[in-house]
Amino acid sequence: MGRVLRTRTWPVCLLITLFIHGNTASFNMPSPWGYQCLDYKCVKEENTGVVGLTTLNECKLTCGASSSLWPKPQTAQLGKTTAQFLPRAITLDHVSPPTVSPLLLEAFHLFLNNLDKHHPQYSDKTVTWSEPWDPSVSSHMVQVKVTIQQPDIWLTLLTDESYQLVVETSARVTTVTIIAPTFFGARHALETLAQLIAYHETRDNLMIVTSATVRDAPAFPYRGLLLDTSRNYFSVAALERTIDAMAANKLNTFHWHITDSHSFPLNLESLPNMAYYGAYSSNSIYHPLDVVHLVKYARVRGIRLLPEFDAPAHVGNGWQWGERQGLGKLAVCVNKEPWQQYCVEPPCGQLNLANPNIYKVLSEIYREMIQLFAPVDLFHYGGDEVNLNCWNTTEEMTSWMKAQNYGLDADAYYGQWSVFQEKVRQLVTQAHGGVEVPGILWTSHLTEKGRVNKYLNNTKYIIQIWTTGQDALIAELLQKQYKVIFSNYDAWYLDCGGGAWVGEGNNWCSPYSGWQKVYDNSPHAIAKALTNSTHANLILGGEAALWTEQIDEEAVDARLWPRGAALAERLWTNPSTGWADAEYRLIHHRQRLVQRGVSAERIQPQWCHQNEGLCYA
Amino acid sequence: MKVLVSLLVCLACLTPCYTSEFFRMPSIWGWECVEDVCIKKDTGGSATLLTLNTCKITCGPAGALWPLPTMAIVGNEVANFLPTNLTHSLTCGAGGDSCQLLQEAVTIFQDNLHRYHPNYKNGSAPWVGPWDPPTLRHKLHLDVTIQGGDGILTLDTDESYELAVSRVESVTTAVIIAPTFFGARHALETLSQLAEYHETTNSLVLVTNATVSDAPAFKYRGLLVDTSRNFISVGVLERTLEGMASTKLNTLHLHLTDTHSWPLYLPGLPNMAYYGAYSPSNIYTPQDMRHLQHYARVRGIRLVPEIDGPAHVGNGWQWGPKEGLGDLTVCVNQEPWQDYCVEPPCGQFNLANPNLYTVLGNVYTELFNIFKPIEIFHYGGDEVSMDCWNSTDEIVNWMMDNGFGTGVDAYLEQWGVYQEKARQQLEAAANAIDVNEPFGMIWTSSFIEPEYMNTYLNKSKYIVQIWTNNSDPQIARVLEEGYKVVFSNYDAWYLDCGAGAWVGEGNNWCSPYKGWQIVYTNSPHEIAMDLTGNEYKDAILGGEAALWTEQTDDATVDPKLWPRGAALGERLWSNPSTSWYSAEPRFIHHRQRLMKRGIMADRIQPEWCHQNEELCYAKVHVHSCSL
Repeated sequence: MGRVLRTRTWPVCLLITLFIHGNTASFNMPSPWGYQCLDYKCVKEENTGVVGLTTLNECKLTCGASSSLWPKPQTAQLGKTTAQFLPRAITLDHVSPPTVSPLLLEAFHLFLNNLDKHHPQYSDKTVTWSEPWDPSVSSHMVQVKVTIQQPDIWLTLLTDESYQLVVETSARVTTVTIIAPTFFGARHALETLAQLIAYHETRDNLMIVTSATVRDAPAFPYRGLLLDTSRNYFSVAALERTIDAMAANKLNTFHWHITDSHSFPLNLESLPNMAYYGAYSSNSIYHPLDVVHLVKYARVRGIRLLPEFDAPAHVGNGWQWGERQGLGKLAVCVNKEPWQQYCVEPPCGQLNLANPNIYKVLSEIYREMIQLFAPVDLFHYGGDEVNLNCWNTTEEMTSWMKAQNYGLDADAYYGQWSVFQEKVRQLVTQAHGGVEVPGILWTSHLTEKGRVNKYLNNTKYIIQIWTTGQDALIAELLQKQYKVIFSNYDAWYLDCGGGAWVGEGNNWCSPYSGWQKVYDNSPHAIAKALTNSTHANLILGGEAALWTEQIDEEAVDARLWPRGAALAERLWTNPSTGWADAEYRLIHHRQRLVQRGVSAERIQPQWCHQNEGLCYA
Repeated sequence: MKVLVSLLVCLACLTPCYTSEFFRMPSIWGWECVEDVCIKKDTGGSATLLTLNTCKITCGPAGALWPLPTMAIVGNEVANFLPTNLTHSLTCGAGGDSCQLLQEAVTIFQDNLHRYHPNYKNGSAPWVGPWDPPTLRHKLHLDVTIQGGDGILTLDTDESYELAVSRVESVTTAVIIAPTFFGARHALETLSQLAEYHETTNSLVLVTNATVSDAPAFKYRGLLVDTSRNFISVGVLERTLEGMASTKLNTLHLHLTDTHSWPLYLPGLPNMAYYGAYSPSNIYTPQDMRHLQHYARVRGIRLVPEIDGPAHVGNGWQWGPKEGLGDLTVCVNQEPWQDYCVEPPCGQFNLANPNLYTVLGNVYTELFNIFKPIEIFHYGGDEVSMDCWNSTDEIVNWMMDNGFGTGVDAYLEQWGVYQEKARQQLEAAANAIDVNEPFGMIWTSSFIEPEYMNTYLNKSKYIVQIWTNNSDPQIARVLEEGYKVVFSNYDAWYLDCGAGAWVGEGNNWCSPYKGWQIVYTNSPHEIAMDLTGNEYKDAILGGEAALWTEQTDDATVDPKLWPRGAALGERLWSNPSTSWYSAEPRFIHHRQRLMKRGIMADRIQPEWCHQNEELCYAKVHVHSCSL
């Protein structure tokens, strides 16, 4: 009976609604569909008066062992019911060391703002939650109690990022208890809490899971994303958006490849010529205060800003002013043609090792960078893709090599490259007040078998691996006890799969790595396959890289997300299960990223989001 | 050296005002046009070099015009002016609402000039002086004449135009003469590309001497957006139309419905969207569609609505039994999907149920109510699964009862019968409101073969849209049978290819990604020539790039469509005999223009390549370099 009544009567009210409002924004059509959690899946069913059907969001919140938490916590027990409330009903009590309190308050404010973003009409930092509400909704309280034990306010590789989160509800009060050793664990807990809360589609209020116990800690201490701001420039706002999305995924390292041969967007007070010559335009510049701002912006979101200053290759534009200032040629092969002979992509450029003045300039660069990025716990030296032919075809370099009796063979150049590397390491140490900073270097000819332990001390350097996941070099590095970060390009280079940008066809590392591949790429499994050991103590973590030859801020979100989220679960949870078990949660998490203002790529038709388990192969 | 020192002093005083917004650093770089190439040079304190934008719009025979006009002489004389200083005189010898459309197009043109400002936002730009008197004085005057037409775009519309720009003292006049409104609005697009933001004076720079005579190579220049796999909001469709307008594309093919969802609200058949929309907010109202149709027309674009059938139907059709009409569709969401369709979810029309045609007729009537006039209606008609029908008792029984048999041939025959009945419903719906029966468009499929098409598809009523790859002999068969065609061969013009898989792992079915070079190079005439020895210039109406949206929604429509849609635009407007390589500098600049129009187009190359024309090339100059 109910069924017939329903189908016969709704079109009338629908037409009335349409007549009154007449535009999409307020066009409010009812829906015949509801959801039921069956066998850990949300199943779409026609709402013919069946008891227990929920909205899609409510089902996603309570169905499955970890509902839609992303990244999946180490352990989570979640209740199956929700309580409805309004965002204004949330309070905070906290016990934390005085150094930490301001950070926590700021993080809590961000958390509240993220709850507002659950509302579909959120825009420009505001949203209107419209009445009327049921009294049980408007009177429901959510009390968040946070205890932080340690006074640390900066992230290091030794920071304990764990947390415990307990949600309990009695009558009209939901209590959330968060206990974390550090601020960083506590802010991760707030992210998890934000995922235990969702927008109720038909009642215009929030709902929270009424009971939950989560114990959580990351599998890897280094969980990174690289963004290259030299091939194309990204505004500070685009970097902020990227950091926001990283925070939503508990990633903790924003690796900033600031400069390259293409452009030098960093305006250094001590060396204004660098950006003057090297920025794409006077609008495409990062000012010192931008950097200082971003360091703080990232920290409160649980993220370190890792500076990279790539050298001795990948320099060029920005370095042209040496001769005019009486310092001689600082860089050689800059924009040299035909580029194929002097570098891997246009434009070319390498530092002029024959000119001792480069160290004066570098010392200024490091000094100011370390000051702007303070406190620096890691420094990236770049160090990849040196083209020996560039140096060997530069008169000044070859004369110098000969005059010093180094010779002109490849080993001679590698030797001088390593001398350069040791000098800049000392400059960085000096710039850091004499305290050594662990350095990161890309895999390169210098890290190859037979060279790496000759040139690079494994207590001073961490090696970032960008070869394929099958490369024997990985075994070599691990067996020689180097600490490593994985960025094997066959899974974690997010720029692959576009068209070519020089010539035609597809770009060098095509095809595109789908989220499934990003998710399944396991550093421990790679190590195990190559060495029979997971080398868990040496593998600090991983990082996905977005090289930006073909990306600027118009499409950066879509390249990074939601694949960056797949990376995050690998690095936070290090699941033993494959992508297929994570799919429903990822699809829902992607919607969450969109709500947060991130233009993340859609992975599947919306039909798959509404029909869990039916888009299988 | 002195100059440098003073510049550095100047920098030092600027450093305290750190924020990006207010920082104005001088630039040491300028550009010079040398042999049609913009070369970046150190100004060395001299003022003879151009800004990048000035160089781009004046250098080379056609400046930065996109798509390349049939004939263009773009001079290198320029004037700075402010876009507020625009006047017009319109002479309108045309019917319908052409004259009103032209007024609107002029307003859009002026808005597009404002959009060149890097801080344009929400309809206005912060033009802040001081300017020198010549800039303040300079005026752009539009003198536009349209000779005929009725404001409705058809396959017979003359979209050509003549544009002459000249300067007398402080007035630059653009004389536009066009047979129809549509040619005139294309001329305004071209004119807008003779202007740019002038980076150092915060005004616009305009080419003041140019002559353009232009007409499109193809009548049908389309983009397809699928609004069923994922919902695409009206705002994003508007933005898509903006991108199309700037590239002189003229057809937005809306693949409105599919098995996944039915977002189109039909007042007379509200059940369709009630059951079929993803959510109550994922719906197009009739007002939305009428608004889009006008939004498109004033930008020179027709909408082609597609209601796909007899396959690619499902969600939205579940209400038949409740309304006493029986099952209108079969196999809806049926599992395992691999047995009944090409991708989840499944669904096909129930050919055994005559009520289907009544409902279909009602759908068409509703469509006319929304879209009238419809010049081209797309029937869809691809990817029918015989296994779906042949495993459905109701259909198998009906086939047997009628003596049709149940072989593949029998089903293809009944598909043909369905198609003709659907066409009759469309014809009847058109007759009922006294408009012409639209041309019917239909995808290539196993049905588009001589033995069926000659029986069921009248050559004067149907246009075949080709989506096979460019070497498929089916293309030759369709052309040789005498059908009009539109090319969308997936190996070049499917813009969704190259992502990860969305069922299972690996990459999606039509990988790899089609770079803009492939999109640009894909030539319908050459494909026809290769397969048949004839270019079939009359039969080939044009082409269309398709964005199927299994893996795209509002968040990423723009970078999937653009700037590759612009590469398509030049192929279909100019049909160049030159390669993508010679188009590259213009293309890169046009991508920047799309961004100014608010479209989040993908970046093709590092900005360095935009500033250093012709240096991002691939041909290896081989000299062995051994150490």
